Amino acid sequence: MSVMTPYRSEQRAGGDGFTQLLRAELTKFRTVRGWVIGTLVGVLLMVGLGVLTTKSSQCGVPPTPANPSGACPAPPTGPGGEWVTDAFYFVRQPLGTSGSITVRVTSLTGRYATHAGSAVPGEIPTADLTPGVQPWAKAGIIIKADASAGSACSSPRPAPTPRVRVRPPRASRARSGTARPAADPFTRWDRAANRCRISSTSSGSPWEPAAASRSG
Amino acid sequence: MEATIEVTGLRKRFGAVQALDGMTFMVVPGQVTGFVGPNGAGKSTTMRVILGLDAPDAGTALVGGQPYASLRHPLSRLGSLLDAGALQPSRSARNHLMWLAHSQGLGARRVDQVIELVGLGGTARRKAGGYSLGMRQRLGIAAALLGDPPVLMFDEPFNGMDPEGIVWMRGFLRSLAAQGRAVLVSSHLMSELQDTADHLVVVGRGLVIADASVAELIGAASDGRVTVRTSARDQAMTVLARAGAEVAATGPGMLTVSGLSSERIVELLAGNAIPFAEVSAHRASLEEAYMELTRDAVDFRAGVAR
Repeated sequence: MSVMTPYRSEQRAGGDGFTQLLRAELTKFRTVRGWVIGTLVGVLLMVGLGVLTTKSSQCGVPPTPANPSGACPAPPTGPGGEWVTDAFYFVRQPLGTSGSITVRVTSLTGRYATHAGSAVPGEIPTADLTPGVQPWAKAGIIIKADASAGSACSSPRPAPTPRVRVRPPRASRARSGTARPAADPFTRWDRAANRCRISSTSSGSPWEPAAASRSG
Repeated sequence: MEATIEVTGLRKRFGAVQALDGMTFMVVPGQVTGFVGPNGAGKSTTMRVILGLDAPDAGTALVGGQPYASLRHPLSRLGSLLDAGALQPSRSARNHLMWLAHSQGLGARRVDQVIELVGLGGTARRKAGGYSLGMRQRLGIAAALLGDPPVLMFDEPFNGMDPEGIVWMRGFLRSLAAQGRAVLVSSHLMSELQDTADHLVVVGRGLVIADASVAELIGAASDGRVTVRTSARDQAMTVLARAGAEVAATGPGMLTVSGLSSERIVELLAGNAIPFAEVSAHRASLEEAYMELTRDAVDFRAGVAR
């Protein structure tokens, strides 16, 4: 077997670390045109879809005849312009031209947040709730201007008011004070022809008129 | 650093197949070592083990005394071509070499050098997917040469090459060895290695059958045989067989005789007035030597045609 001087390279050895690996992978990627084009198209699709959807529907409301663009409806506001949350559940029963409704409220309990209330409509505070009834909390017969959210409402109290005084909604009426005990456990709403009258009483005492109105 | 490949006692089993069964050989600098054997003899598996692509069940494969995986700047220690088809078809040949070069901190200058070296100068900017197998072989060899390594290993580099390419490849392999590199070339066709390899490692069924120089192998296969050229073939066969020789007709007017010296053959033919044109020591082709060695080691052999 012939002995021979092994080959010695004149070539300077380059690095073979992470930088070289990164550079090799980058070269690999950019030298296949399809990969580059595919990646660019992918990025454009993702960004484009995002932009398109945010442009076409700002808050994801399905378009309706009343709101064809699907734009966000303004949050419901009360008469004072503040945001309110109203929700209703209706059970209907015809009353006829004359009749009365009598309601008895024996107790009213509630919980309220001690920190400043959230301005976001619909957000229900879950922590830091203190048992207690706010001064604006009412139960009994509540009269509202209409069924839309935030419309003016009133809960009659025994006060010498000749007409139903439509009061601003609850939030703006919030005052410090103790929760109102059920001083007037009975409230009655009478209608005779086009006259309405609201009266209240504690157990045993005579009915006192609270408010009256005439319609038509 | 030694420029060698040392394979010692490699064993590897794939399920029911014992791919390597104690493979042991050495590739030394300055010569082309042919790595030959029938299909399935374990050539490619051995090369994969050398590169650390397959883990052997037993044995070691060292490049310059170290396992390939522990080499620093591996492309400048061992250049290899296992599968010429293993490239991204829509990347150009030049860019294919470029990313390999970048992985070793080499630049565009070296890439252009190896492109010229393998004769792909005019087509290097074409997509590699459009390359013929022969061109891919050249590209693979260019990649193996990027790091200018002292050890080279090619698996079936002649596959898919046209005659011009085969002639070029032979010369190229010889020139690499002449520079002092260790070159290991596998092939299942001996004729491809006939004028290329200096040393042969013949394998079959996962182990080395013969590890010798080409001259030794041919000598062993030719041993004691005499070629006789005669116009009276049948008469010559009768006379020589009667004298105790083993006679085989190897062509029209051609006999291969063993068991008798050439002097005795000449004497017999002349004594029986049989005309002959030539009596010479038989020189086996590498193919014959190989067939003799691997006769028992072929896994898949066609039945005799009827």
